Amino acid sequence: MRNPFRFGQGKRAKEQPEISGSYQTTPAERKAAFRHIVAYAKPHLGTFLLVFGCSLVAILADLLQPYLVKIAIDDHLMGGKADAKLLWMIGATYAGLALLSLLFTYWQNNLLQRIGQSIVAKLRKDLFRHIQSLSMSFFDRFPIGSLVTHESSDTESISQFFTQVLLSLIRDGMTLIFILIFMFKLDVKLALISATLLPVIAIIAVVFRSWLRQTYQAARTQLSRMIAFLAENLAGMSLIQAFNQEEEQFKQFEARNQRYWKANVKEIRSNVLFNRSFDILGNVSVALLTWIGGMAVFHRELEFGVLYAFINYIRQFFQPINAITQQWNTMQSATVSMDRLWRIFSTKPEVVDPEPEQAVDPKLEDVRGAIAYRGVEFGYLEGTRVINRLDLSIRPGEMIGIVGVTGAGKSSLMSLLCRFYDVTAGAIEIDGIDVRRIPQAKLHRMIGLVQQEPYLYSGSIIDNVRMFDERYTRGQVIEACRFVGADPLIRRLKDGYDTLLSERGSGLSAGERQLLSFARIVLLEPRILILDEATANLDSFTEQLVQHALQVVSAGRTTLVIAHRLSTVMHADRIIVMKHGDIVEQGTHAELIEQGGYYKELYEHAKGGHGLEELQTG
Amino acid sequence: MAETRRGLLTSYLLSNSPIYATAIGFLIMSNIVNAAFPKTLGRFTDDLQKGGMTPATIEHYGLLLLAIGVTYGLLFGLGQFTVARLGRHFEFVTRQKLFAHFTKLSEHYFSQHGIGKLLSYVMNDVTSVRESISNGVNQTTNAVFLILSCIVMMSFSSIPFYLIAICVLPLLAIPFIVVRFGPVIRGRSLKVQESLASMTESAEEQFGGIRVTKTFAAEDMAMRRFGEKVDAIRDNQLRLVKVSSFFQALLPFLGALSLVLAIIVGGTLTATHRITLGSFVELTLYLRMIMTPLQQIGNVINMMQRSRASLERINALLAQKPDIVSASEAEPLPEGPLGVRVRGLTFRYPGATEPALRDISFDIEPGQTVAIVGKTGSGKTTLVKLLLRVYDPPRGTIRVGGRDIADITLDSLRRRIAYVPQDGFLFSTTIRDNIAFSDARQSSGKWSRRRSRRKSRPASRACRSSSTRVSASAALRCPADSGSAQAWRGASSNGRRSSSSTTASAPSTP
Repeated sequence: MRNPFRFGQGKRAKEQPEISGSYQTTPAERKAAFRHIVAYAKPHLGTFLLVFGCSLVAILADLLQPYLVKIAIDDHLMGGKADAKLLWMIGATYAGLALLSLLFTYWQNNLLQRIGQSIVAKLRKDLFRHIQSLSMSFFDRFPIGSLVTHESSDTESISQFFTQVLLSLIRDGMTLIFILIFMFKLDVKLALISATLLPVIAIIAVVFRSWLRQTYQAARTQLSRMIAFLAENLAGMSLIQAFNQEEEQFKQFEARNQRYWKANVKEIRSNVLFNRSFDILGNVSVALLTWIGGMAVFHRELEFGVLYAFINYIRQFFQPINAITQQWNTMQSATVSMDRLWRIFSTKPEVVDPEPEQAVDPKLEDVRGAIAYRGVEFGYLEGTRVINRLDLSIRPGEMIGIVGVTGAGKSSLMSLLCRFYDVTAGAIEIDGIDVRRIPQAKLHRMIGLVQQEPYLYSGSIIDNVRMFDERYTRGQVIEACRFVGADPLIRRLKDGYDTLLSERGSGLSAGERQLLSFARIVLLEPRILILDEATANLDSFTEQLVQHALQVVSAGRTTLVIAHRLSTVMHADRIIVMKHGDIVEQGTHAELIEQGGYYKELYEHAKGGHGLEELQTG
Repeated sequence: MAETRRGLLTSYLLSNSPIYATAIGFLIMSNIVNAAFPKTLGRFTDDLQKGGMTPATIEHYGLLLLAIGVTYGLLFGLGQFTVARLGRHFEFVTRQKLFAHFTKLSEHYFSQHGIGKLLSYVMNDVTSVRESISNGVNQTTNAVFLILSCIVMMSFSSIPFYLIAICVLPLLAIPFIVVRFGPVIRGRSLKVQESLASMTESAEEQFGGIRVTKTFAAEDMAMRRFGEKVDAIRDNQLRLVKVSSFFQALLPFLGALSLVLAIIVGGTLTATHRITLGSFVELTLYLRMIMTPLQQIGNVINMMQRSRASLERINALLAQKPDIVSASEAEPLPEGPLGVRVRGLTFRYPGATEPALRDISFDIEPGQTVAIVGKTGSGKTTLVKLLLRVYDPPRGTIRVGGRDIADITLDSLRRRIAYVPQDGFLFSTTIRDNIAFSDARQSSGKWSRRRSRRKSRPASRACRSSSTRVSASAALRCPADSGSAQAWRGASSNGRRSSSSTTASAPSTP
């Protein structure tokens, strides 16, 4: 379970892994994505203004410093009336300004980071909440690895957008506008000539835009291929070593690594050319201005002072432009990240809570636990059917065993009851209420599910049993553990109930972990209990322990048990035999054996075929 | 620490020093050319003011400026490209080293380090080091060039030496500030990286357990736990920014203090006519020129401190000695059937208190089929792992073909033993490549023959002929299996995946 690059748990066709691949989006989607993300900056408008103010003060303090030197020179030293006191005062003022600049730069940076970090934190939490609300079919499509990448890197590059790109756009954009205003005030004609640079800049930007995007995407694609390969190889490393394929895999890695490197070099080339072409354009325009302006001065059409100022302004004009183009890459990766996050945010959960007027909210203690499948049809993918028009009704408190070979539809039956997926036709009812009319949180409190691989979180045993819900007391947890027979095992551990489980409970055996998940059920008291191959990974000795716990837990609850091992379900009140999404037989063990049908065949196969009581399928 | 740092980065820098020198040469040359730009402009304005200009000379100046501007752009671009290319090449080389190193590490290592963690070496740490060397070279070259040229110009000017010495006094504090702030910045950025890693782990855990979360309606709990990790990153980032931005603003402040000294001391000297006004103006101009490079140097140091944590992580990983290696005098196994002989084998997993196997002895004759049964945790898997040297057994306890397995080359030992893991791990490539996995070089003809043979017999019998078979009901598992990396590739079910692995073991003729 530690492998983030593992697919979802559903047994169905999966899409290719998209670890950090690029998606094609329409302009409309891109706009929506952008709007969605920018909305995160809104609450920070006040702080943004503060940042703006801080940088204004810092810049002013910076600009005033040379002015002070000018005063010292022009007013005092030139006039020859400098006295030591005045020089000390100027020096002190200068130091004061420097201090001011230091403080405001410091505040500006801190405030900006605060905004960026707050946005990222909020974005991460919102994304997490949204992903959590999505249906299981989503988790089948998106590998966990890519979801984790969204949470960690995509949010990070968006924060860079707010802290770096936005700042540069505002600050440098402002400077650009100021310079243009000054130029027009000085000389309209020359300013108009200089303004022809703007379309040239625009053309360069447009020409480079698609090229830059292309090389960037190409590098990203190669990166994601390399990472996907690496992730898989790390997961299967012991297999590679056992089959002695290290060298072969290394060569394959090298090929991918090399392709990524080559794509990188192309990307660098486009970036350097892009940045330098603005630089060169700036210098070329100064040269042109010198020539045109110099001629004008020569013909006495222009004052020399104006030309001098213009040359300076043109040079300054390109500084903010260069600064903005430096941000191009950050901007590009932020846009890609925005698109990727938007894809997640715009995904609506397939399984949704009922409309308030439709909703039925039964009290937990009133739930009896009668289940009815009425003409249920279901398929994971369109056109394929896993369950065909299935009817089944289960009495409150009944224990049902469900058997059948892999792919018969046993687990799908359970997933539908939990509403991991919705039926494509028909309905499932609990106590006569359609599950789609019950709020999901309530539905999940009614049903307890124990899976083949118990899932434990990093944290103490106490917290794992009570699912970190501190409304359950320590005493209640211990009681629940005692009830399922886990207490002596836990007491044997170093810190008892406070033992911290690392690496998903790797310090415990499979049986011990399963006992903990039974204790969860006892504590949370669902009315309906589902055991999905809960004992399949256990040897017969541990299974006895768990079987005992199972009996305790299932008493008085409607219980559905899915098992390969027929011995697990032999004592069920009723056994449902499934084949190709249909119920082919049902009855008690004795009845089914007497019928001499498919169940008997399975039973004989399990008993005789291997001399074991285990039924191997698949 | 300095020694380990020297490992990866310094050796790269050293072996590529000619190219770096060329790149730095380009950058310096572009700086020199660029310095000619304002000078030419100055000469032009002077000439224009004096009125000694003709249209031809104006054109001449225009063309000169054009040439200077374009040359600068080209030289700087070339230097920038070369440095960036080298940086990416460093990434490439380091990733190669990391992958080669990963293939040598044992299951024990992988069981202790999650895949997400290992991936972050390749994705984050390598990139962070690359960014700091690329930007570092560019900015340091610029900054050093500017500072040096300022110093040179100052020393050639008429400014008395003692005045310069007094003015640069505040700058002498820089090394102390670096020593004082450096470790704090590094420590705090390490905290940031750790909290990022722990958030990633938490996301992995919560998304992995989504079914459990949903069935227990524990979404709020998951949200709370994840939220705590997210907030920790924010808090650590802000703590880091407090020091790093203060540090960054401090260096230009020192430059400003130099100017304050220049105003007071230089001003007094000017007022008392000990130096000329021109020298005073020059002094203040040069001191202001130093400000920008000071800012850049602050930047570079900041960046270096942050990426140093990454570099140390990579070096530590590469320094990790693989625990399973072929002995120097090891020899390959001979051809033909082999027997297995186990004597007094007692084995304890690293870090475990109880041994997993206690005094095991048995013999398997060549060609014999032996089944090993027992309940979970009884040591079946351990035995198989030791046979394959996934872990090292005590010397002299396991012999294959009459030879201690420590004296057999790892390569030939693993080539001669085929195994079918419980959970078939399939790579996302063609079915054909998955089946031909154990010998990727074999011809397709051989492959299809194998496939038809495989088809005509039950999977379990595919490799029975004349090979010693050890079947443990819980055969060798991926490190993953005990709760971790079990990748489900494609739509094939468990059963189907397992038979593919059975076939994969066939071609190596065990």
